[in-house]
Amino acid sequence: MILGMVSMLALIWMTPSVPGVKVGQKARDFQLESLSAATQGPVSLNQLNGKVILLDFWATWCEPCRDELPELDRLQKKYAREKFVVLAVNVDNQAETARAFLEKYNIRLLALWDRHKTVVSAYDVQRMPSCYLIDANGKVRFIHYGFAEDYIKAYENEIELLLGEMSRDRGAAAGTPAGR
Amino acid sequence: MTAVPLPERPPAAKIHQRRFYILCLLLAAALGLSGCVAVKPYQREYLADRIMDFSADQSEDGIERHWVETREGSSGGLGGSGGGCACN
Amino acid sequence: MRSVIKKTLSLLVLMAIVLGIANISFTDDKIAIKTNFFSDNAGMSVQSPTVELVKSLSRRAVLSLRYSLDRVSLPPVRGIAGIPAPIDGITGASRPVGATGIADAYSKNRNEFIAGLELSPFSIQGYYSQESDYIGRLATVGIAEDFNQKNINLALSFSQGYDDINPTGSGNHYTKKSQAVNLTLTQALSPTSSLRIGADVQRLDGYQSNPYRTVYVGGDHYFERHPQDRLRAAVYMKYNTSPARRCGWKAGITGTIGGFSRKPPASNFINTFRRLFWFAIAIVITHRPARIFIRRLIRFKECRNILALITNCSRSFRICSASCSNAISTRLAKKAGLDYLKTRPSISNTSGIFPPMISARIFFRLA
Repeated sequence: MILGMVSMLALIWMTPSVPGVKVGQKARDFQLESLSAATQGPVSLNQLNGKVILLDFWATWCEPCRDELPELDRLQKKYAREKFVVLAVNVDNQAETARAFLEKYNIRLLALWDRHKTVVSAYDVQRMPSCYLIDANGKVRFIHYGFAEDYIKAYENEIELLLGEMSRDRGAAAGTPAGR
Repeated sequence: MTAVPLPERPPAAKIHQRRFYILCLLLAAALGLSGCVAVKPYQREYLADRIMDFSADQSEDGIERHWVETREGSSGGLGGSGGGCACN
Repeated sequence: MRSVIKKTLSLLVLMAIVLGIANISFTDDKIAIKTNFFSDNAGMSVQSPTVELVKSLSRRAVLSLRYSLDRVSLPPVRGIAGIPAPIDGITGASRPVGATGIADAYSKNRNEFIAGLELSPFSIQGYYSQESDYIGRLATVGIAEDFNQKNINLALSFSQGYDDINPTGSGNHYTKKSQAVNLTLTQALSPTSSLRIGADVQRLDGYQSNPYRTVYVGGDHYFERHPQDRLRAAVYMKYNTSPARRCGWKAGITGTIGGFSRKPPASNFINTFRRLFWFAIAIVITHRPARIFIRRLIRFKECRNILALITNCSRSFRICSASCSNAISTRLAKKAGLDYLKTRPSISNTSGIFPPMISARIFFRLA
């Protein structure tokens, strides 16, 4: 009986592999409407080419997402002068719920609404929240699933790494000594 | 009270055969379950609602359990431990 | 008996080793103060104020404490001084009668303390209940694990109880021991519905009679006497669905099987546990067809009409048009701080030793 249970549980653990965007792949372009009052009209990922992007999928009904979003807002403010953008894609069924949450906690980062859940499905998000760090060339470099307090330090390190790479590439392209 | 003898064990070959079939059953269950992903993490808005949690209100469940055990004279079957399949 | 406990504990430890992946637990801290009121025939009532505290100690640890007071009250009954007045001529159920011929009102308090610690994926809980003639103790350990992107949750728990019984006025002392195992499977069926199925096995060993109840046989009263060993098994299924954001319903069905056992309990316990374990596996195996069946059931026209009736809530939050006999205005409920209105009709059959109970809860979200 014990052997049966162990084998059953081990096999249950083997979930089939699923498609989606993985580390090293190009981030899939999308166009979504904005939840932020400051931004009118739809926003597409390609518009932000040349910047380091933190793409976060979140929802108001997800507790770790609610803990994470103020931290991402703080990151956006910290790196406001750099070529860095936080894109928070919300998957709630009602846009008003997400807007009310953003207003209540005074979150000013760029939030988008995935009305039909096409983008979150294309990225095949495995857990809520999920965070994709995209470099200036549009390639996914880091993926984080879930949220804990020590993730913020990791985010900062990775953002600084990608910003450093971006400035070195620009320097190399301009022919400055820093690029050699 | 006289001792009641335990039932006799079946022959060894039959035990092995029975265990083999049971193991096949377990493997089939495991394979079946691994393909049973029905709800994606981003589709759990309604499931994450507190009212949809089976164990949302432990104190109310405890009172109901006590009431049913007292009035019905039976116990069990009102729900045990275990989390829901909703929030993170 | 020791071998049964050893086997069950070793199974639990083995499961813990196999399943030992930490789950992060996000729980809202809360203090809840509630009271329940229950009334029955002939003016009997039970009031149960409860205080509950839930606190997250760390990312994985949650502490919960609960105190509950059960106060049972019986109004006085007139009778002959010093002689218990039989209320029920067949069973002899009675209440105390006072010396003046008018009985004093009878009340009894039961204090209940529960402390629990959840350290994902493990949990441990202690229960202590005290009243003038009964002390109940129960310790429970459990483990719960998610699979398949949290679509499936499997939980196993084991309880050990030890009670002391000292009937008032008799000078006798009795004990009762209990062990219980519970296996639960919870599955998300769709974005709006989920299913829980489970099985309980419980073994009781010790005094299980009511020391105050007499049976009227052949013109005389005899004290109730139950067998010392009892083996109980129960299976249950619960289904939740929320077709619309503001309304939904829950349904559950419980069937209990079992009865008194005069055979040596150890082998019966192992055999019954084994049978129920394979029964649970069989349910899991056939689960996919069961899920398809439930979906088809919901598509039946009659069920659709019922769901439409339940979800017909007007935009201005007036009373939802559903068959709630005790529904109150949602605005008043919201003012009182309620999140939901819940009403629960239930049907139970208490004949024989196979009492199935069917209950449904209808709930309405206020905001």
